[in-house]
Amino acid sequence: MHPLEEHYLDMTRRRFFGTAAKTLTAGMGTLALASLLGTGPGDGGSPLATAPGGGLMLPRGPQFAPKAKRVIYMHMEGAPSQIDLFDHKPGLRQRFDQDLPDSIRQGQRLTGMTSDQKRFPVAPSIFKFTKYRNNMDGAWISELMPHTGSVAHELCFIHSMHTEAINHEPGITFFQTGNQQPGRPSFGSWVSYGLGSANANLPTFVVLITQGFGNMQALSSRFWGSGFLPSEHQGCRLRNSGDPVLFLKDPQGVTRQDRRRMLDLVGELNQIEAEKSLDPEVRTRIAQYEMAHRMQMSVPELTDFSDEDAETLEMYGPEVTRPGSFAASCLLARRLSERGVRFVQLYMRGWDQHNNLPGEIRVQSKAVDQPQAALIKDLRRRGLLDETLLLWAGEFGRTVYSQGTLTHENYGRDHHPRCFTVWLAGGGIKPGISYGKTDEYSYNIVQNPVEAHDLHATMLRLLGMEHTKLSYRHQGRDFRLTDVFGKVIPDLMV
Amino acid sequence: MESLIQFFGRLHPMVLHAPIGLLIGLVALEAMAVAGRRPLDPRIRSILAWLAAISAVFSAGAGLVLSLEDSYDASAVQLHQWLGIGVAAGCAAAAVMQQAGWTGAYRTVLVLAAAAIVPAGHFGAGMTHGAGFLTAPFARHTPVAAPVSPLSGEVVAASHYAAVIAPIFERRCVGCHGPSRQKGGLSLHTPDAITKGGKDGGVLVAGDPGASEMVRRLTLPVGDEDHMPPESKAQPTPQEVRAIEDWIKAGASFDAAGEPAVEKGAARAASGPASADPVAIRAMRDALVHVEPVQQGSNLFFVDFSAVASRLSEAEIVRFLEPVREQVAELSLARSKAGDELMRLAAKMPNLTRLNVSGTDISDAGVAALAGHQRLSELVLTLDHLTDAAAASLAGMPALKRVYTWNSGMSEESLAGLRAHEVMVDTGEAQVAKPLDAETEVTLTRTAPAPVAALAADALKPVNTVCPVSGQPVDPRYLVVYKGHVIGFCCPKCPSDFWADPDKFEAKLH
Repeated sequence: MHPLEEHYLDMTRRRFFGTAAKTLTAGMGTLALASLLGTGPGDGGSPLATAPGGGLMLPRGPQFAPKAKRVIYMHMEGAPSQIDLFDHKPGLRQRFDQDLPDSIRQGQRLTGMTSDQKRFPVAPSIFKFTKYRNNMDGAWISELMPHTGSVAHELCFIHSMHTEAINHEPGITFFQTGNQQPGRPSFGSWVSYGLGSANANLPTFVVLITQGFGNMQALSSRFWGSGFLPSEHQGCRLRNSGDPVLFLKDPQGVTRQDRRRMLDLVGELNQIEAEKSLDPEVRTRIAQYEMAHRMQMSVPELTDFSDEDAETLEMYGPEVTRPGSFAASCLLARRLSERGVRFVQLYMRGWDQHNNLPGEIRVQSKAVDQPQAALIKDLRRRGLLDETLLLWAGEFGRTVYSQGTLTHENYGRDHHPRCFTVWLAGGGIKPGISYGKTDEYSYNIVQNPVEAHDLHATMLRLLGMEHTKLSYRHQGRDFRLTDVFGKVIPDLMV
Repeated sequence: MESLIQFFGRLHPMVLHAPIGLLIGLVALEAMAVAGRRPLDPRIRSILAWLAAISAVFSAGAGLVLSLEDSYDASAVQLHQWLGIGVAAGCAAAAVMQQAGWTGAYRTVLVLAAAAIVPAGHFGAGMTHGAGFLTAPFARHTPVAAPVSPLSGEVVAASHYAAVIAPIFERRCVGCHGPSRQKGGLSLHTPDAITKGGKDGGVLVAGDPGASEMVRRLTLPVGDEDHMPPESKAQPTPQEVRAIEDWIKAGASFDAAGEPAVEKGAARAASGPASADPVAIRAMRDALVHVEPVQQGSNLFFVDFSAVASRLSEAEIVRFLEPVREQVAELSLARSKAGDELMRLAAKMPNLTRLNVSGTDISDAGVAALAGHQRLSELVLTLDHLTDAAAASLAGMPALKRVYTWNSGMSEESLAGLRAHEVMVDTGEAQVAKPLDAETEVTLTRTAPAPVAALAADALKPVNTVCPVSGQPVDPRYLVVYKGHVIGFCCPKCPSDFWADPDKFEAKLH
């Protein structure tokens, strides 16, 4: 076929309706041609027009008055042991080295990691717990996290989380995207899609990763990926060392004006392509270039801690000046929230303590305890905590029985999806409560089970969106973060 | 009877196709006959001519009856009517003439009748589809106003009838409710006509979409017989319907761009302020100020200057906020160059409930400017340079519920009075959750008894293998517990025999 012919045929009917429908998202239906081919970026009416801050202008914003305007999600990758941190089971102290009764285990399948063990001896926590005053009858928190204990009156513990995933990849995928199989957008992407950005100079969804200590599992970038949503909603990872964003600085000899002229020209070329192909990814590309240009100014200002006073820095602990530490990430999270970034996700790696748990968890906890408490205090005194929703969670829990040798000083724990503990704070969450109960072995849930879908539904409600209404049409059906599950839990909300 | 007559009249749009097809077919056949120098078979000619005549007369009759329905504009009907009657008369005459053998006259009249179909049909279509129907694709329209989504916050101001509402009516309604036709006696193409309404009365109540007949019909399910536009016609988009609702709510004004309906106090809906000036909103967004409706469909906004805090001067911020001061519900000026002038502007924002001026250049005078504000309930004054005098002003805010004063220069003592008024004051002294109880040591022992096991699988095994009553083998479904032992039976009837005299059977078990 003649190349020109082929080129004109490129705009096939399928592509026209397919990409155009994708651009306009579920609910827009068919549009008249006139309004599709907008008169340009300044035309506010055309759905394909880019908003001044970049990005596609889709109906965005909270569906009803929100309690929270943004989220900080601290994901403890590897699955922190709830028995040693938050799920206080003093009765286990008299059951040291006893076999886990069948009535408790109820025939649960063993993982590949412990299936060759002959025995499953109960390993009580060797850490001392303290009961901190909260708005119920106190929160028991172990000696590993005294700072977190000091803000127990702000925290809402959910002891009865459960999941079906047994390993990290599917477990984290499930917690982030609502499904164990990959391919779906992450929580932050859904929030970006539903609410949009509040600060056009910074990405809507920012990811910060802290390397932990000991056994660390891999983190895939699709945990903060946008799945089938337009890729402008993916998380932007800020690096720990060197430039927070690679290649953000102009090379030597290139001035900001040169850069602007280059972007204008590239933008014009992309605009032609966008109008021809109606591919939303081209619009995304235009938006990303503009965003990068603005980030050249905003990111250095963001990561420069010199405008923080000494008392604040001290509150986060000595590690705050080390780039990449959890303390630095927490401070950065507060700064990002201050600047209107909708979704900040912190990953703390290294909680996967199959062996040598007491030693490893001490180091892990020390790294996170003071900073996370400081984050809460910092947000509180700046008047931001009530509109910022915090979540601290792992992907599952850990077993009450010891993996590997059990001694009076040492034990390990395997993965345990049947119950684990997470906590929330701020943003419309009832402060100072504990929700849900596990049995005395911290093995099964006896009251108020909560799964990730319910957590997502509740958090979306606090952000002002009904989880059943925040959807995107893909492959012929309306997908949502909560898939076909999820119920809002009113007891968690103010 | 009347409905039967009406039904007959309504057959016209359907039946008229018959004489058209027949007439044109007959003309074509006659043309071929002339070209081939052979006359058309007289039987065919006769059948077709008479069929055409009958159907044309029938159609014209139905058309006359239909024109009696009062929804048609008399002048528009005239031309079509007379041409249609002409076609029918021509058909009838042609039929008679060909019957009489006057072939020449017959052919002439036939062609004339066929030619008359064209203008007759054109005017007829103009009555159903609107006068400019044929030429519309070539006409240079002003670009159709894009659907306005209140979700983006660009709510239509009351005065945009001409820019937004009129085009919607033009597109969706005027075909049947306009210059060429007024179904139900209603026209929607001029402000006077809209206000006048139709034969059932007015179609809108200014300021109250809920009571407006137009909105009622627009929002009915599409299949409902009262729904407008009729199911077979193009339907307005949800955005267009919302635009109409918003326009009615804001007072259904036809004025050229002018003051927002805020001035027309009576017409304003009771809930919430009027819509903000979209130009002002656009200006803010173009400057990267974040403007977000508090919720979908609301006219109140959350405005955040974070993105541009360091760049905009106070005067520029004032210029942005002044036109929308009625609609600002939450405002964040943190780390900006805001000063007392902005505080004075904030004092004039009637719907402001939350204000964040952390890290700005405001002074005590600025805080004093807010005294008496009726709605402000949350105030963030952290990292400001204030003195205790500001604390005194805070006491004068009747609606204040929370204030954040960390590092604001106000002393603890000066704020103590506020707490007495049930204002939550957060001075930044970290509230600490006190320990209530603490484990002092951990001793690991093995002394606890094993938990009660769930009933073992063989707990319900019977002690016998044959039924004590019948001697048949035991069916494990039929068990009783007697003196602590589980006894099995062969069938459901035996247990009752057993209970009649348990001792007798018990002996059999051992």
